[in-house]
Amino acid sequence: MTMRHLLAKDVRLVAPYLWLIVPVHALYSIQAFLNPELYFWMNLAAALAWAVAVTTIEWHFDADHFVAGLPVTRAAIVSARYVSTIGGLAIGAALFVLYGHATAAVATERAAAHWQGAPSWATVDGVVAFLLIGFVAVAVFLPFFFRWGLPTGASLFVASAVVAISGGTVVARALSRTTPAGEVLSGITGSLSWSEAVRGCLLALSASWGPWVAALMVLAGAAVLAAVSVRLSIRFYEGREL
Amino acid sequence: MKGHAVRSLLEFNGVTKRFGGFTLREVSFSVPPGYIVGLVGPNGAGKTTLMRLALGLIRADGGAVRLLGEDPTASRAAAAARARVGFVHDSPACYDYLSVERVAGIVAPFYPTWDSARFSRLLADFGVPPKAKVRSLSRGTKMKFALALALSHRAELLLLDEPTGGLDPVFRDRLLDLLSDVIGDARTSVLFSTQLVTDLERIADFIVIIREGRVMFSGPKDDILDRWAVVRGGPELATGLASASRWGVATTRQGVEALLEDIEEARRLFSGKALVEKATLEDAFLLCREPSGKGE
Repeated sequence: MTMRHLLAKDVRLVAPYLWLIVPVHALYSIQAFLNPELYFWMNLAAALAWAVAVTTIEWHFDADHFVAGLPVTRAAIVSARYVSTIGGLAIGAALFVLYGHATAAVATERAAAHWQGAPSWATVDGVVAFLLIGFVAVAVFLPFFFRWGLPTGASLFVASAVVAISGGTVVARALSRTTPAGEVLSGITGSLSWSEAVRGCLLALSASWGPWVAALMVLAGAAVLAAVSVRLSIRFYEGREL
Repeated sequence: MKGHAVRSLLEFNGVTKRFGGFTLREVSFSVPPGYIVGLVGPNGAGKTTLMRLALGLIRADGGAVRLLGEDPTASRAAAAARARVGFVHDSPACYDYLSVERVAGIVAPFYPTWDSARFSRLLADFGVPPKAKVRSLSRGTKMKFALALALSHRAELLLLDEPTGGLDPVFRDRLLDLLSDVIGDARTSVLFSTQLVTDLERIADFIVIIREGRVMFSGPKDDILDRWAVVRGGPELATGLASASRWGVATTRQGVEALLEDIEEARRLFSGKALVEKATLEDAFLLCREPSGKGE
């Protein structure tokens, strides 16, 4: 019940800005003509920006103490934040696919020739990669946010992300030279395209274990990450002084 | 307030809280059912900190806070208790890009006892336009809106952090009447923080005077008004007043003055040597201070 009210609150708070989705994504769709990889990242960035904007709306309006003073537990506030943030990400993924297909419908043959095969919005692995990267970003960001608030938490998150991505790139390159899975990894990391990297990993998983087991493995990994992230965020937020 | 027979709706028992350069020191007082408790103190005395402790927004370093019998920082029980509490912050202007009625639409579902008709009536009474964006309201009107929100779910306890700040004198007067009406059912209590002693003279049953994080006095308002005395005299009385008053002596341009808790005793000791008058709340507010404040 409380969760429903908290989610309804978020919907009411963002409702005045929802119209912005149409022009922003229309603008991004231009990128789909020119560069599908950039289109993927711009859409993901937009989805994350929306999701983070919803998450941090109380901070922006200095309303943390107002919400925490309502008859709700801090755990409910945190849980609702995860639901609304992941919901925002899912809507972002839907728009990514929708606008991608709309772009494809009006694209000229010359433009489509640049796409080199099925673009990410038209494939299952592309959409799963979109959701997975977004989910990992959200699951890592939220504990930082609930522990330190927006400016400090976001800065620490960005710093950690830079370290993790740089480290990941170095490790992936090293592995590509020394392991049998190097064929996939070298193909991926050669271009440093992380969306392709994730898609490549998903395809490799699917090829090795079959699509259903691969899907289960991805879901199980996401569930573990979500459980750890939610638990940490609740613990941090319950300890925060507002 | 201590030792009151009926269970208190809000209790602070030896509460301490340290921030950077501020310490709340062993604060103890309670809010009994059906009474208005006025929390008065200068800026930075700790009034807002006490409100935040009461709502569980911050944790005490020591001592205990009980909101409707519950630890306000405990999860579920405290959330249920907050459903029976109305609060007004000193800065009530959150979500200022939304209209008044939209903000109410967000808040209302959280309270099972929300009374929409009462909310509409209060907005009309207070002159708050429901369609107006919150950001377009003056500070006083925002405060009226926050009060309407706090009063619309039949709360048993109202926590009002400087609710008269920014209000014009006419509305302040109406608000004080309204608060008196609210507690008419002898079930609702109010903890009302302010820097304006005149507010408390009108409506408070109990007074808590807080200064630099320390409670200087807590008790019935009538104790002060009926029994306390302020003694004013020449500088030669400083020693005698200092030994008779638990708050020490303040130096003024005319001489010295001090607060005594028994006007009969004050008359017996100082009649003929000094001016002995019944104390007002203003006197109590100004003179209830650490004895080290002598000479201020």
